[in-house]
Amino acid sequence: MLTEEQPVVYIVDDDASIRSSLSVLLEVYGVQSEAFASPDEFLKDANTSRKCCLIIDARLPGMSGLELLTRLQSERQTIPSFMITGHGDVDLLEAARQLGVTECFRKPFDCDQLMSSVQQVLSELQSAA
Amino acid sequence: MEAPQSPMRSGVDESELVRCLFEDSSDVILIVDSSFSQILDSNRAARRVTGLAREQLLKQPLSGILSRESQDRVPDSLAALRSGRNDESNSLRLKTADSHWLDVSVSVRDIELAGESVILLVARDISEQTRAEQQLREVAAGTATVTGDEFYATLVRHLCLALEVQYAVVVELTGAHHENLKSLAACCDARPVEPFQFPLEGTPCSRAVRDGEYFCDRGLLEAFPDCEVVQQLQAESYLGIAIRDSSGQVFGNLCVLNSQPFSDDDAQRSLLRVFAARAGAEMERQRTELELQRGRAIVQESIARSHAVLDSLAASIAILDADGAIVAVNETWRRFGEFNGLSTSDYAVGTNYLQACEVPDSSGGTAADGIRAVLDGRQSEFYLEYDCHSPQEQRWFAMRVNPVKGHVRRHVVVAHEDITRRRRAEESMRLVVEGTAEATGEQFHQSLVRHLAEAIGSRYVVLVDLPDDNPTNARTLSVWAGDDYAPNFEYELRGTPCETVVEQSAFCIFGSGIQALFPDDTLLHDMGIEAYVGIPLLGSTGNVVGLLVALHDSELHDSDEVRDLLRIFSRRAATELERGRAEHELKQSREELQQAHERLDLAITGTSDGLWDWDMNSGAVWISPHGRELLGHESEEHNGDAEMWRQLVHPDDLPYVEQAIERHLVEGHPYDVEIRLLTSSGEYRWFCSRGSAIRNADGIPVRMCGSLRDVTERRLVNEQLEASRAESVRLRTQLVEAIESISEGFALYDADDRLVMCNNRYREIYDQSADLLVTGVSFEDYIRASVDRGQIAEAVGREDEWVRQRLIEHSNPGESSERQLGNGRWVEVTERRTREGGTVGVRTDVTERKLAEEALRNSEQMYRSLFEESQRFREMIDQAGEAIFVVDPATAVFIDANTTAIRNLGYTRDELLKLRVFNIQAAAPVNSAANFVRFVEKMRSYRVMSIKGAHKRKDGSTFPVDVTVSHRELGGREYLVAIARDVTKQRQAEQSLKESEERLRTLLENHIDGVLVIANDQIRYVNDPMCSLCGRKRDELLQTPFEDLLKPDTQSDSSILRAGKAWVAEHELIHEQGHTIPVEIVTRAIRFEGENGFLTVARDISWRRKLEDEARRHRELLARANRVSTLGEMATGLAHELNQPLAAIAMYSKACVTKLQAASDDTLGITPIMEGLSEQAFRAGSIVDRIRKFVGKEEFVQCACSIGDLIDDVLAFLDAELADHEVEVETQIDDGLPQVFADRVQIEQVLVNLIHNSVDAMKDCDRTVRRLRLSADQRDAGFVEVTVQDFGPGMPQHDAAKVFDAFYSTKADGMGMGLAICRTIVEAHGGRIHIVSQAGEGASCSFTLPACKEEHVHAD
Repeated sequence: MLTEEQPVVYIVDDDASIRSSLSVLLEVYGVQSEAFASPDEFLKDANTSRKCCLIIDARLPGMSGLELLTRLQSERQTIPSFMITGHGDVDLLEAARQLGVTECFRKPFDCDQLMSSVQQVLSELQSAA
Repeated sequence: MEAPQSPMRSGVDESELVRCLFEDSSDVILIVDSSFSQILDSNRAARRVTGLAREQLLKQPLSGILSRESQDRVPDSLAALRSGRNDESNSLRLKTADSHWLDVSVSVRDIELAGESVILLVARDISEQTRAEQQLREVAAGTATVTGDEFYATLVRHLCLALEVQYAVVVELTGAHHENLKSLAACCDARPVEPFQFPLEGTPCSRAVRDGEYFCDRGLLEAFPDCEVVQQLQAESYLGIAIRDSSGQVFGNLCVLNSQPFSDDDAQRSLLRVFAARAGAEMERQRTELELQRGRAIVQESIARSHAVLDSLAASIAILDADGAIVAVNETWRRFGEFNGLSTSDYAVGTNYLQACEVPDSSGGTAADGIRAVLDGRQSEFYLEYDCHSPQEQRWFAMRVNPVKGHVRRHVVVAHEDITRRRRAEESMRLVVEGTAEATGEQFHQSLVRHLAEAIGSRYVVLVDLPDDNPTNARTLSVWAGDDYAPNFEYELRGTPCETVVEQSAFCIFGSGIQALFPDDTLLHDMGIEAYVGIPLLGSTGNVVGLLVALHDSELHDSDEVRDLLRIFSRRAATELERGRAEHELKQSREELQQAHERLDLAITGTSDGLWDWDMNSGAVWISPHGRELLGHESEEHNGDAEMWRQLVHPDDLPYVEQAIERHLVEGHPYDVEIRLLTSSGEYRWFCSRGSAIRNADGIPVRMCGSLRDVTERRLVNEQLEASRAESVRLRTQLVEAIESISEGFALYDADDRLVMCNNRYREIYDQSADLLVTGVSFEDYIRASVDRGQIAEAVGREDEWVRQRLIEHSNPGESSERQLGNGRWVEVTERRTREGGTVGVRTDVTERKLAEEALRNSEQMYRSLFEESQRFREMIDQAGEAIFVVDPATAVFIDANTTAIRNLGYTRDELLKLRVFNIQAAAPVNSAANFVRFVEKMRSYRVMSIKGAHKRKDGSTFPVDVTVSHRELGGREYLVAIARDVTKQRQAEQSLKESEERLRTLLENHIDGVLVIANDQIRYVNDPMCSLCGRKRDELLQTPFEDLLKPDTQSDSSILRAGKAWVAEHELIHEQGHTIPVEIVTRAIRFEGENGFLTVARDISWRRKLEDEARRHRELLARANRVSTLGEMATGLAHELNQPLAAIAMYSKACVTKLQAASDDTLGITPIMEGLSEQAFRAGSIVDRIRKFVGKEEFVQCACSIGDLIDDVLAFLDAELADHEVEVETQIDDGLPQVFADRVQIEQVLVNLIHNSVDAMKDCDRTVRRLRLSADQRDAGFVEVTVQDFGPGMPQHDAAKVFDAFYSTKADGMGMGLAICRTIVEAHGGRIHIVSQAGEGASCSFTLPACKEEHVHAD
């Protein structure tokens, strides 16, 4: 019998260094993660039916982070999401909040803060199951 | 057993596995000894490639399986291997003996096998690939040997291989409108596909053909749902290049399709382009070849046709080469040779015709000479007629030799023609002609029919006449019936073949069975006729006058010959027939003439003349009864003889008569004499006798007859006339003598005014025209000619007028007049009418008297000497431009005036001389008698005065004059001489000058610019605007040096003013109140009141300066904004770029710290270091953020503004740049656009950036496409969309997505900030910006701005 499925964190960022470092960080915290370079890849390969949350970069090639969120919302997929951005774009953050993003982080962000938020969401997911 | 040592040496089973891998490897694997010479082992692939069995291979040295050139390379390669330069050996390529290419690759290793050091050589068979590459190279280089369909097949196959695509196709456009495509070669997975055809419409090829090339990297199936080919092949991607010929016309397409998306499109495209070009050349070559083949076919066909033509000719034709050898003959030639039993060596192709001709004792020698002459070019053609009689028949031939055009070496055509028939016809003709040539009339008719019958071998030949009066009947003129002439007969035309001939007026021939055709013609039956040939004889007017008929008692064979002969002789016969008729008519008319003569004789008897007839042989003379009456000899006895007649002639006249008769008879002189004959009353009367001799056939006169008329009365009248004439001559002589003896000149003109006579005195007087005085000259002609010679002094210069007056005097002679002649002498002229209406003129020389009178007059009137002493002086005065008056001061009367004076005033001279001075004055000082008296007083003391006044013309009009009056005394008398100059024009000029000065002054005063004139370093004139410009009064200004008006630092320029050139500069004028006013000053040198000066126009340019300043400020603002934005955008971009790695650093260090903490094993104390790292990353992040915040701080002032105004402002700002780049700008701004709520400067910056980009993009384009379109319209209620569109090269769509990113630039020297700034600005305004572009189709960048809402307006 399979053990209960662990929730996964999907990372969508076009910057390889962010993908890699974030994966390492999550792994250290014992969190399972999977990284995608673009929203398209994410939509194609990610299994969103399982318990998961999303850490997404605001500006991405092709579809922007916001657009991906909009699309997920329109497909009635409610995935808890965190947005990370290299810009201090106030409007963008506001828009993200309106799309139900749990929290926004400006790069470089405080890892403790991020991790605690992520872990909280993950524990909520697990308890919900 | 020791297992062979292999690279994988762990495990026993592995040796078997290795063996399998070794054996089954698709690569060629050879194990070679260390000297690289002997093959120790080989795998299956190696055996396949070399075609040798294992045992065979094992015995081989390595070199044995290599081609010669590869063998040479082995030692080098080996050395390279040994020295470890493995990279070199990697590319070693070896060729096997049987042409397989071996790519000897990486796996050459030294290994140990059974204790021996061996070399493992792994090679890949790349023959297929190499061959393909080779062929592709060849194709690409255009050196492929294959052509045509094979070429296309090779091309597509290798394209498949080279591009690794599934399908490659070459298609050709077919159909009248190129609406179809036909595959020339197609290839699927490198295998050829059967040719196929499909419509162009709706296929990807249609795009390629239209656009030159078409590329679809994926989604082809969706893009072309209707394209059967695409659907059938299930192709996902497509790349097609149009095939063009050298003129650029598209006639096909080269395309590849693949079931996978394409990856590297550029490389594929360029490769395909090369092959498309090559395919184009091939296609063109093929077409040319086809044309060539067609051309050849046409040539072949035309050769065949000409052969057919030659063969169908009746003449025998051979073509000879320059040596005379026969190179070609036609069918007739061959048949002729065969028919005449000649040996083929005499006529067949290859025979030397010249030698064949040169048979001794024949005309052949002449023929050969002729042919040579043409061959050598000495003659342009040669013609020879010769006989060639055979025992059976007589034959003639004509040989014609012509050169063949177009051959380098001369060829000739020899044509032999059978002219036997023509010769025979000629013979017959000669026969007939000789027989008929001399004859006429009846003789001719007979000769004709006889000889014609002989010539044509007819039994009967009949010449028939068709009388005009009865055309239904015919009458023979001569008939030849076999052996003799038959009697002529008449017959009715109806029902005979002759009727047919006459009706049709044409040659008719009935070769046989004539009797059956014309059953009514009994004559034919009686004569036993079988064949009939008839030809109409046509008269000169084309009517049928007769017939020439040949009748045969047997069938007629050679009708042509008969026809030709009949034709020829019908002309002659027709002429003869007409001649006969004409002769007949002539005879008739002669008879009529005879009758007329008889009638004349009758008439003669009724005339008043007597007639006489003298028979010279008998001497008898017959006189008509009336003749006897004239002589008074009633009786017949006077019909006596010539001797009696002699006695009747007056003895004085007799020799004259005899002489006249003699001259008539001998010389043919007309006999016409007037003689006296004795009448019965004993009186001699005058008679006119005329007559002429009648001669016999020998020309001897035999009789003489004539007429006689009594002319006595006439002679009497003549004699009286003669007597009176002599009398008049005598009288006239007396008259002339009388006239000559008088001292006056005398001339008589008759009623027609023609000179009858004049005496010598008259001639002496008119010495210059004496020769014109000949009897009969008309008076008018004479005087006209004489005045032209200057005979009459007073007529000089007015000849026509004088002559007119003189003629009037002449026609009404009255008192005498005196006249001076050209020689200065004076004559008195007296003329009288004669009773007959003529005129008598008497001239008396009165010079002496006149001279005396003249002397008297001169002494009386001295002043005249001034004017008339010399004609020339007078003329001079008359011609003077000024009017000259001479006035008597006592009476104010004009004594004289010159022509100008008279002309100016409009009076005649006489009228003027009756006037007084004040009559012509229109103004003071002499316009009244009283004034004149005062004036004269003044003149006496001043002597000379100048007056400005006005004169009055006869018609009352006046004109201004300048008059100089002088006072003279001559011969004790006073005169005033006034010289008046008409100054109308001068006054007008003065007036207009004054007016124009006035105008100029008005202009200057009203000029909006300040005007001042400087002369001699002083301001001499200023206008009102200048005064107000300086804020000073005019008087004040006039005393200020010009330099003081200018701001000191601009003064130096005023020195240029001294240079005296027209000059424009900007200055600042000092206003009276201290401030300065910018002015533009235009200065030019002028003459002012006789001095050199300057005209300076100063224009207030404050407003312009203000505008310029504003523009400059605006520009600076924009530039600053641009700088700030650029910096801000850079900082933003930098922040983003730096924040990424900083975040990564932070996370990595956090992970590290966490891991260390979890392991509780940080013996090295790494944790604080990692934490420090993390901290510094955050610090770097915050520094970046601070910079961004600092430079990104922009004032953002939004207000309502019109987008149209914004665009106009930006275009004005960029005007110079656009003009420099020769960019044509069009704007299209919708009416009624709402205002936008925006920061003016920032939006202008966006527009400036976009326009810059467009201009940059188009800078290498052709001038015609350098267009820029700016448009603004309202897309939806809240937004206005502004579009900047260019027609430059554009960019691929995937580039268009990235252009707004910071640091992304398509320009070599671009920073990649411009569009990023634009996006920032537009998005800050709440709008969107996007770009639409296709490579080659320009780019169109649009952005939206929020339209102004109510609250915006209020907020303002």
